[in-house]
Amino acid sequence: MPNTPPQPVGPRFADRLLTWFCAPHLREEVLGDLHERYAIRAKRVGEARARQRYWLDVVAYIRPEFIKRQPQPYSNPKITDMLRNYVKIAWRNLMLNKAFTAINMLGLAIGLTSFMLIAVFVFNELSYDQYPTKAKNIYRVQLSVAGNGDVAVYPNVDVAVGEGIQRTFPEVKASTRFRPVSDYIQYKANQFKEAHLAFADSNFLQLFSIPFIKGNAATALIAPNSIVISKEFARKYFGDEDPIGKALAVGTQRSAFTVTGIIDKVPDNSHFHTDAFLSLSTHHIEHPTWSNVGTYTYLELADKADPKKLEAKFPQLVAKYVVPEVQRDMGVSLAEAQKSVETFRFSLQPLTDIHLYSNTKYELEPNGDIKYVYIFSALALFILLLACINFTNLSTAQAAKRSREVGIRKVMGSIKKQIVFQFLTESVLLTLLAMVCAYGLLFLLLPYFNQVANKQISYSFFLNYQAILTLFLVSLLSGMLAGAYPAFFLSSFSIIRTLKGAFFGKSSQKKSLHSGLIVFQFSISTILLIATIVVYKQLQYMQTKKLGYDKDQVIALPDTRLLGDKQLAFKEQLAQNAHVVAASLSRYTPGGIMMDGTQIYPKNETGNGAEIHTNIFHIDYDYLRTLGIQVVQGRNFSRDFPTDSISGVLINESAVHELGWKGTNPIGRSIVRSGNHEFKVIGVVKDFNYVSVKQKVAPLMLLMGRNAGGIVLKIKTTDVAGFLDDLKQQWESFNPNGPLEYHFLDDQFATFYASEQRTQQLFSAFALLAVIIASLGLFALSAFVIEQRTKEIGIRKVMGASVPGIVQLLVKDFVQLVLISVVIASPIAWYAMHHWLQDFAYRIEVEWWMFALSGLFALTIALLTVSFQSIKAALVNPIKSLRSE
Amino acid sequence: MRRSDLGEFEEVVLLAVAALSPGAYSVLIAEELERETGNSVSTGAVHAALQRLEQKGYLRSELGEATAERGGRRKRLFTVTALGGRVLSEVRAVRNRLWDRIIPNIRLEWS
Repeated sequence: MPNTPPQPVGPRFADRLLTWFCAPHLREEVLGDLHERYAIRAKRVGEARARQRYWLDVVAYIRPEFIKRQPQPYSNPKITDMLRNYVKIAWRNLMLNKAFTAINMLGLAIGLTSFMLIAVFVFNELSYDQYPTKAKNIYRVQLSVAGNGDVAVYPNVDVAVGEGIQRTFPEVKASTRFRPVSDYIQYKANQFKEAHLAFADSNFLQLFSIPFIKGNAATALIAPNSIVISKEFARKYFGDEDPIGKALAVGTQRSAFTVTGIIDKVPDNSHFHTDAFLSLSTHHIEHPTWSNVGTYTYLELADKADPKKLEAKFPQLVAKYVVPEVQRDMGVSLAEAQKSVETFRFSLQPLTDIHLYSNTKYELEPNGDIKYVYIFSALALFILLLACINFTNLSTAQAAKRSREVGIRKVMGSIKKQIVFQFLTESVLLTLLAMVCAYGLLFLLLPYFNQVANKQISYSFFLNYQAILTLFLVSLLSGMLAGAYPAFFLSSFSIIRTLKGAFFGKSSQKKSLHSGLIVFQFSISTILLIATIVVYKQLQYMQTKKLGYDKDQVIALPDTRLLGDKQLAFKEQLAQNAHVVAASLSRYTPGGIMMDGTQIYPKNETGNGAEIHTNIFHIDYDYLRTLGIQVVQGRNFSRDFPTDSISGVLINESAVHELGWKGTNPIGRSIVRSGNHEFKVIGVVKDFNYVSVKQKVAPLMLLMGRNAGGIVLKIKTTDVAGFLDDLKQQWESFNPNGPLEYHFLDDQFATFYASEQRTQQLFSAFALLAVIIASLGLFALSAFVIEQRTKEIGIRKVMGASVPGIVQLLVKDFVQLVLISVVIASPIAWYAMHHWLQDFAYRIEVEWWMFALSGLFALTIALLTVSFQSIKAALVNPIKSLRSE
Repeated sequence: MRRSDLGEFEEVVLLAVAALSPGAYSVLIAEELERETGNSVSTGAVHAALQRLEQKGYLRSELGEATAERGGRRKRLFTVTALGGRVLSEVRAVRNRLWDRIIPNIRLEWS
């Protein structure tokens, strides 16, 4: 029936389903039946009903009779048979070129190892603070205050804030507070200074899901004078005794705290690591305030609460609580108080973002940085890519050798798909071998990596099935990536041409690919080299920068408060010591953790100036002399002026600038701090870097200190060890309340740059790896290219070419490529490093010699790898090279 | 030959093939059974029964002609074999004997 109108057809998908499950020999009649029935039904009951029935009919065919396939009379090779053949051939090919295989495998192994290490680093960074069961609902309350031209962000607020927020807004389910402290702890004869203690609210441990070994998380911190300690901490003080119910003496007052619980430890991937939690209920605060900082406060929001909406409601709290306090503290009118809290904002920081996104000056611990997560992820991918490129390059270079094989395979009936699969098997097999090597390397390098990246990652992390699966998938993918181009390239040869050997004629396209890939590899390497140099120079610059004070041979004794009233006598005795150049009674050292701050405003003849934030050091008469800080205007504190110790103040140049006194004489003018205290400026000190060089010197005021609590000593360079022994003896002779603590200022200074140092070490390591991989590839490629030109070299020599001439001929191409890479790499590296440097207040400039040096280095490496092969080839007797093949 | 060889549905299908022959095939049979019984009958069920009957040797099949409704696909036509015919008549004989033993007045009580 040639002219029948098109018949209605049943649901397509049902047909597809049926075709899939129905045995092939039954498909024709079954499909025919279905369609015919459909046509009949469509006529009878309409298409919609017919379609419904159609589905039911299709389902009715799902029975073994229709699914079971008919046995075939021909032998049916299983898919594994062919696979086994692929693997066998691939293995033979790899073994045939042992040198290339080794180079490829080494490159890939290095690439995979770096990939894994970085993946672990990234994974670890991303896992921070995910451990509390309600992590997604926990937020930290932060405070931001604009002043001094920028916004100061505090990750902590005042004691009343958390509870006040919870009381006002029903969507806040809980609030908890945390105050880190450092103090002496004693049990019987064991006394240590503990740096990681914290007072916490009773619900803190439960909110953060800190795992308890003994005791009850919900109740352990309710009673005043309770302490919850970690397993490690318990062993340190109690040994094998059961600590529960025993009392620890805390601080110089020896207040007794009863152990009510033992925790395993705070998880490694936490933004705080506290060894012991003390109950915050110990300190009863009569009138909790809103306008200060210092208490880390966390809120638990209801599941559906929107933190942004909650944040928007905070200004009403500022108006209600903060304004009256400011009014009272500063002694100003309501309007003035309202004006001064205009920029005072509470905000919420998601707990899980703290580690990577929060970068305030007062974090509990140095945080990570999402930027580095991105940078290192990119590095990992690039290094893996470099290794894949080696494989691609070498395989296509070998194409000429393999083209005959492809030709024969095609003649024997291989289709393109099978040849592609053959080559892919080869590259995947190679990457899987590399994966095994990578595991070996991983175990070898993990300790160093942990040290450099400051992580505690154990071997077992790499042995769980997720890690193995990930590495396997990555290997598989990179194998396919590396093998994809060669596979498609080789399988596209036409049979006639390959068998005729006419393959060599058209190689310009291949050559440009090789060149491109080499340029890419060396560009990446050069960028990394430049980055390494810049990071190194910046680090060196920060460490050697003139700080405005003398950090060498300065010892800080942070805890002379243990001497009580005898501090001054101890200091005077030390000052008499022949080894001591100068001694000062102060707990405040540049780079130290002690720092006070306040809001001040200048008192001018024509009304008051703008309020600024300033830091405070409490010092004594000898402080400036001990640390070599210069007075640029006015004078130091002096015993001749008794008012100095009450209302005199020294400020730094930055404070002069911020107070708006630049160009005028600040000496004799007044500043007012909160609480309405007025101080008269008696001198201006030169700016000195009292915090990390990463930050600009902020305003600072120096006040005469009361009950100092610490001593700073400047000593002579001779016999330091002898002096330290002497110092300890003198300390003991004063019957102190605890052991002597001391540290050298320059040691402490070095710890400032730990994170930059880590970055620098990681960059150097990865730059080195990139260079190794790139030069491995170059080495193999040049070896291959030179081997191809053996005859040419022989003929040239016969014709009278000199050895240097031939070497030059062979090296020239590669050198050109490396030069191009340097040209490409330089602007990219400049851009990236310029950005990186913006994070530093005091920074170096990226200079041309850094590019030149990296370029030179890359070039030298390339020359060394290539010329080794070239010279060998050029020295060969032409008889040999002409006889070859 | 045992009775249990022939299921109830198989018997009906076998009968239908005999009734519709020549040219009995699954769609036709399914439609016929649907009309006769009033229940919906899927070609899948019929086809499966036909296959079983063919395996038992009661039916024979060959591929027939294609039509446009079938999208140009051929149909499988079934005919009853001698063995199939014998089985059918045997089944019928058994039934008839049993029917004949029913006393007419009992039959009246049903209605």
